Amino acid sequence: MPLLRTQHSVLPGFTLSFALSVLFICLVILVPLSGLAIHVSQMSWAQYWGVITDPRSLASFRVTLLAAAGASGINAVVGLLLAWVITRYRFPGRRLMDALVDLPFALPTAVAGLTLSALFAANGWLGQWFEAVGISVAYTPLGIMIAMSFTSLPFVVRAVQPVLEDLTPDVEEAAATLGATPMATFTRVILAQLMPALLTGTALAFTRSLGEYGAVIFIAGNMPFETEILSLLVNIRLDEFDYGAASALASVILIASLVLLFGIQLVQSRLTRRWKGH
Amino acid sequence: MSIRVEQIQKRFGDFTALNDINLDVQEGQLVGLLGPSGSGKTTLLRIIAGLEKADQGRVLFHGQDVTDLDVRKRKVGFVFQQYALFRHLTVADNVAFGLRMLPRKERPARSAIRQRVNELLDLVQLGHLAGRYPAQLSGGQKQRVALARALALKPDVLLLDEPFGALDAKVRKELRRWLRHLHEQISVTSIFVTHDQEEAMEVSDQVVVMSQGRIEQMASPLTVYEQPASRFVFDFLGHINALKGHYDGRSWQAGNAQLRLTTEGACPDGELTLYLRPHEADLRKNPSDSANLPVKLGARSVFGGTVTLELEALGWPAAVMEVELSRDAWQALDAQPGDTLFVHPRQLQTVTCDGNLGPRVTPA
Repeated sequence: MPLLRTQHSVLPGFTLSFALSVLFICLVILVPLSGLAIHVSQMSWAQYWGVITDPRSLASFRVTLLAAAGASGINAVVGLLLAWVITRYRFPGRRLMDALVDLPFALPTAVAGLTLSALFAANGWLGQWFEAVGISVAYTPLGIMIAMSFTSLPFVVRAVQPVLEDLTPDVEEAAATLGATPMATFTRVILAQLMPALLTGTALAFTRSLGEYGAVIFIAGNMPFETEILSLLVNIRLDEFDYGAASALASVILIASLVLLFGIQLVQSRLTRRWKGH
Repeated sequence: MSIRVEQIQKRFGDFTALNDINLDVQEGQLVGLLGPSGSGKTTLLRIIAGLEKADQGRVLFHGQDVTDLDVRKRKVGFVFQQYALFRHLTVADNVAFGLRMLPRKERPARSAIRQRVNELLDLVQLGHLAGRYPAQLSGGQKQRVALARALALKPDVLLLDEPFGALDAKVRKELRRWLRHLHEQISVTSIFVTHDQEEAMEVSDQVVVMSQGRIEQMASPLTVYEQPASRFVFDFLGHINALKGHYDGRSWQAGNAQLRLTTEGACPDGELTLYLRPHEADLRKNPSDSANLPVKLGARSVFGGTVTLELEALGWPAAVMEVELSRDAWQALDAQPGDTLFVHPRQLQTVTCDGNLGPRVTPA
């Protein structure tokens, strides 16, 4: 088997390392997924179609997709800003800020959900101020969006940060000597180079948001047709022992996520392969 | 366009990077800023470009004060040591970048931009690589793209910061010849920074030797070499052998070494240091009345037409000396490592008591 880059691998043998990786992927990812596929395959097309076009399902798709899109949009901007601040400035507390970015990964999502719903409830610390200007956050799609953006923020920051650190200041100086305004330098030089990483981070954040459960259900209100997210609906169907319907719904998230991730992977590798000169 | 720098002062914290710098560059000249690292040459170049602000002093282009003019409006082309190409753009798009950044009113049409880019790529002999990305180019090619990009806006002034510093020796040599040639073609006033003496001597019309934030000398390469203005300049331009000894009015002595010469430059107590350039001496198997500098032949390195010999002083205190002979002279000498030989300086540079350069002397 041809080994890329190095003639001598530090890991013992291709066969062993490959077999272990494949085994792990099978056990942890593929087997559970095929369970899902088996459940779905036991349904007829008509049944499958019936489940996913049910008005309540459609409403939950809508809520989930819109909230996830909103959350990823917010995170693309805020995450980029955060990564920028952390890499470009030296200020007291920078390391703390850098560490805090990973907090949503570390915090159990249910804890995050409880905290957020307490904060944004109509009488909560933050919720009361929104309420004062007539905006309800908790138990509305807005609340879902906030919970989703909380849990998926690290994806954008951590995807963008290393690329940003790689950008040398002389490239920006070169743009300036060529007459580029600061705005043009940002969009045409910095953002253009960050785009693959930013896209990847945002797509990861989006797919994470699609499947988010713990953080969302506490703040969502979970009103069918209004604030009921897809993963909650899956859970409800499971509680009703309707495994077919649950699997059918889950397969929609799964397919959507896979298509998105694969597409992004394709775009990113095409762009960066040329930039890296392969 | 001529460049004039007046009384530039620049500090970074406690460190004085530039101290009262005055410089005049004539229109169309190619000037080399030469100095060791930390001498302030890159800072000076960046101040001229407008990438750095001086604490005091003025920069004038063609008599006009540009000290407070933004780098974007100075119309300078700048070439960076590490190329600073836009890695997400093709070679052609890199070169076109400056033209595309022009305000809409001044921006040429698409076809005109394409034509200008093609001209520039032909000028740097990279027309066939227009569609490549920077990562697919060699170092020398990247630097030529950077140069084409810097020339795209027809700058009044071209500034190059160690343009060949990141390249290997052979490419360096090719590229600097080519830069010299290019400069003859387009004759834009240019300043380049280098720490490589050979490079500065070969490429520049004028060499500016800098040390510790000051200009030591500005002159043509020949003048800088033959009439160095200071001990630093003499020292910095090529290897020298420093010979420390005593002068008694008729001859210079150190241990059992002796040179008969006449000079006024010695210290009151008779101490006298002589500088000897490696190529300003002969080697013989016998001493003469005027010169008796016994040495033991050490390692030799044969490269091109010259043979560089390492010589160890025999019976007198001196660091390992270096002498260069032509290949013919080396063969005529017919010596083996370990042989005892005698150095016969043709010319020596005296160093005065206060550390300045004194008159040149010849043993007789």
